Amino acid sequence: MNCKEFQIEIEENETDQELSPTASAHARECASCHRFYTEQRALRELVGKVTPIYAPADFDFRLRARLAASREPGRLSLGRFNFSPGNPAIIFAASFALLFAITVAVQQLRSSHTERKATAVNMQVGAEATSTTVASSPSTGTSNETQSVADNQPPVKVESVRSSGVNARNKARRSLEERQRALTAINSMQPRSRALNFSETVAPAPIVLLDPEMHIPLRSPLAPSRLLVSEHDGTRRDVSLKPVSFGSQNMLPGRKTSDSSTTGIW
Amino acid sequence: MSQLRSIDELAFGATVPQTIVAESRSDHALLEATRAGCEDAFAELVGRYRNQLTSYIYRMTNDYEEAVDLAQETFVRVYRAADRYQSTYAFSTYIYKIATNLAISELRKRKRRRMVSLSAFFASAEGEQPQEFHVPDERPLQDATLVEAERQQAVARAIMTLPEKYRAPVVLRDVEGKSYEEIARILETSEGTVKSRISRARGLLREKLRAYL
Repeated sequence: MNCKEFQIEIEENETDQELSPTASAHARECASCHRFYTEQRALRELVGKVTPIYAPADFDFRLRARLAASREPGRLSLGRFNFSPGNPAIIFAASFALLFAITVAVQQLRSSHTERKATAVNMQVGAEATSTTVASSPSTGTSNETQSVADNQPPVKVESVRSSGVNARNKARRSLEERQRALTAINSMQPRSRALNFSETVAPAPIVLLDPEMHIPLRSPLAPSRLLVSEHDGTRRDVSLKPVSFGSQNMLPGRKTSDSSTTGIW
Repeated sequence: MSQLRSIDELAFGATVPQTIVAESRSDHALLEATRAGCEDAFAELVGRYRNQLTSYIYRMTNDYEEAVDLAQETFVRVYRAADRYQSTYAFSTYIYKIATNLAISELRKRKRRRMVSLSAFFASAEGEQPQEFHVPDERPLQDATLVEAERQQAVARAIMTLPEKYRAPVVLRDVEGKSYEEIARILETSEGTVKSRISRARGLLREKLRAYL
């Protein structure tokens, strides 16, 4: 037995275990191993004789209270996880879920509001358009059109007035069915109205007023229409619109048109 | 396991008076009975291990109140996990493993807290270890009892200065008298590692306690 094997045996022996004959023989021959054996034995006796520590007398009582507290009502136990209303993890998860739900709701509201704004053009077609402040170049046709474009802020009003023709005034009175058809035709003109939607923020709920004097001219103006746009902050803009014809028309050379309808209106 | 509804239900020994807990029942049998709702069985388990655990955790933490608290927490965890307990190893291995994990966790918390020693303010020179203050003892000369008490304190202090990876195995081996195999299971490491750490810990203790050997 060499010194290393001797020390391993000393380390692994129980405190009260006798040395093997070979280890005893080595200890007699090797002074350092003998000293190691003596110190090791003394150390283990010293450490092993430390004063035992006892639990306090109220150990059981405190443990009972602790167990009872761990089973307090309101605590939900799911396998390894215990949930209680005051658990920070639950509070955090609930807050996150609430925040997520609010975000989704706000986004949906915004998207629906934008859609409504994009499609909502407040058009008023009536006789009161004759008193508007913006006039196009003179034309034989008549187009009274008031478009209200607004956003969340005070609405931007665009008023376009073309001077009325004599023929249109004379044939202003039509039946309700005719006016309804005219209204349908105006609604179909919405793409043109969207072009006037400068800020993509238009007031909701388009309102079309049925006016007894309402009529839609078939003939378009020959010259471009000028729109003076007054915004809520006082800015004024001048917009020029090219003539656009609707309905049945015959295109003539020189950009002149002639109505195929004898009445000039629908 | 039955649900506890009040603290009175946990009056060990009084909940199920007709149940007789035999002293000879094994730990596994007691835990089985605890799982079935017998509070007496759990009380018996507590009675068997409360002092051992308190002593062991005290050797690890050197704080009696902390040791009692962690010993109770160990029993609470055993009680809660009684349904999931698997009797692969000895129950003592199982409960010592819980206690060891709790003690090591507490030691790591202490390290994070980094308590400041007042004696650090009295270090005489840079890099020099601060000397502890000792209040002069004006009492009569010590007798044998006091010498023994001092020896005990020296051993406790020496154990506390060991790194935690050496402290647990040497306490389990030389104070608690566990076998290498059981220590390896408690610490979830190999027997070779346990032997190596114990040897290293004894070497450190031998240096610190040379005056008492």
